[in-house]
Amino acid sequence: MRAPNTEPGRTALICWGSLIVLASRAQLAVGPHPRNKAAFAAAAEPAIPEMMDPQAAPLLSASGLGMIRGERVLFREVNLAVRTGEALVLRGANGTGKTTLLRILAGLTRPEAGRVARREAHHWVGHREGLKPQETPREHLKLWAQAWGTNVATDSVLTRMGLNRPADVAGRYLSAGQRRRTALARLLLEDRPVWLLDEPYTALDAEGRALVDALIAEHRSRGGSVIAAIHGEAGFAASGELTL
Amino acid sequence: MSAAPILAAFRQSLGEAWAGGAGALLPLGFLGGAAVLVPLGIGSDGDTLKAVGPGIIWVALALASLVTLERIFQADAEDGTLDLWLQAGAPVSAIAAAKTLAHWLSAGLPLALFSPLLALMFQAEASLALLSHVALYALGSLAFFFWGGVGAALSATVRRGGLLISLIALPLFVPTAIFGAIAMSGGPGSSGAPLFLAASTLFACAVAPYAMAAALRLAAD
Repeated sequence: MRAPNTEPGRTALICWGSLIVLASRAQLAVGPHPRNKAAFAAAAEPAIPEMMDPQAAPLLSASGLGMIRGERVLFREVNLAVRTGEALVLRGANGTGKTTLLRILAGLTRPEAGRVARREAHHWVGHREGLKPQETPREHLKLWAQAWGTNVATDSVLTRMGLNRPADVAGRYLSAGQRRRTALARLLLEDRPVWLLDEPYTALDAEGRALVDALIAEHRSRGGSVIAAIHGEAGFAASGELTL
Repeated sequence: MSAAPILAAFRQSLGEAWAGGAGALLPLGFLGGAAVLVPLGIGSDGDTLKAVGPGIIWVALALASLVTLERIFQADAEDGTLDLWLQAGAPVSAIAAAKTLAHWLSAGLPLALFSPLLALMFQAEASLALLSHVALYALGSLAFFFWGGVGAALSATVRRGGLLISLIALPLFVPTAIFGAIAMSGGPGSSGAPLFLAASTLFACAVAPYAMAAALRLAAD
């Protein structure tokens, strides 16, 4: 405090030095491995995505997507498009990049190659529900209705999702299935044409799975489209499948 | 773009601060405990305590802000809320600033309001100067929270990131600590120092949200 311009100066220098080192390391950790970068460069030119119906512009499309995670190429040359009423199911074993692909489509993750064209607003339901431990389903829906500026009656959404009984129970006391239903309930808060769902059936009982199927069917009949990563049987007629 | 997502983020963080970590009580307890330890460590000589008092409070304030900030973005990254905020249609920097401000209101401002009690403990004379110190502490802690928020955003996906936050944020605390201490010393330059303190806080509020936004995008990537 007495001589503020010498001692703190030196401390600052040391701390900043470590900060710069840390920052450069963080950069390294994020960037692709140079070897894999080379593997990518050797890949074929991106194919033009197939156009099934040239009249209808896809609600969401992606071309030539490629992704590297750590030391390996997760996927490459992924082309997809969904139009109104379509449901695309993503398939693949664990660790093949279904979640990463969905995150790229949602704009959360930057792809290593290729591009995504989003023409319409989308809903995101990832495998993490986004529900706080102290938050009740009712509070959760109220919060997101407020954030998105919609005035849907949250009570009717809770009823629809079978969440009336646990509506005022804090997230940490909910079962996995109830948390999943709460996350899926966000889909009903606002009408958005594209739904991106990461394993929507996880932790749901038979009734819950049927509910998801019904929601998807209604959404498609309204002209919406769905891209969902699903293991096992899908309870709706998919208009296309993409295996990673 | 509308302000609705920003307000919602603010409201959620405010609720979270009171639900998860007992709101202001935890940092207040930390600040009080740290301040009580000092006289035990350096002896109870009144003049010494009076001289070091304001500085000790600055240090305790800086550390208390770091303690409270560890979970501000980490919890969001873990439970998936971060993904939702990134897609909420508002600038991520504004969301991050709203969350930081909410945490400052629930933990930083109470600390500043608590500071006259600590100052009295350090043998400061009960005078109006203590109230002006509250304003300086409040201003300084706002900068602490914004710089600490950058550290918290950078370590959002790091387990036990508390130390990393300190490492990143402490050097950024330096201007605030220097100008804050000079402003309270009553020595040369103490009349202009509050303005420099305010300027460094403004700088933090202007720059930190963009750094937080970039770090949060990286955390979700």
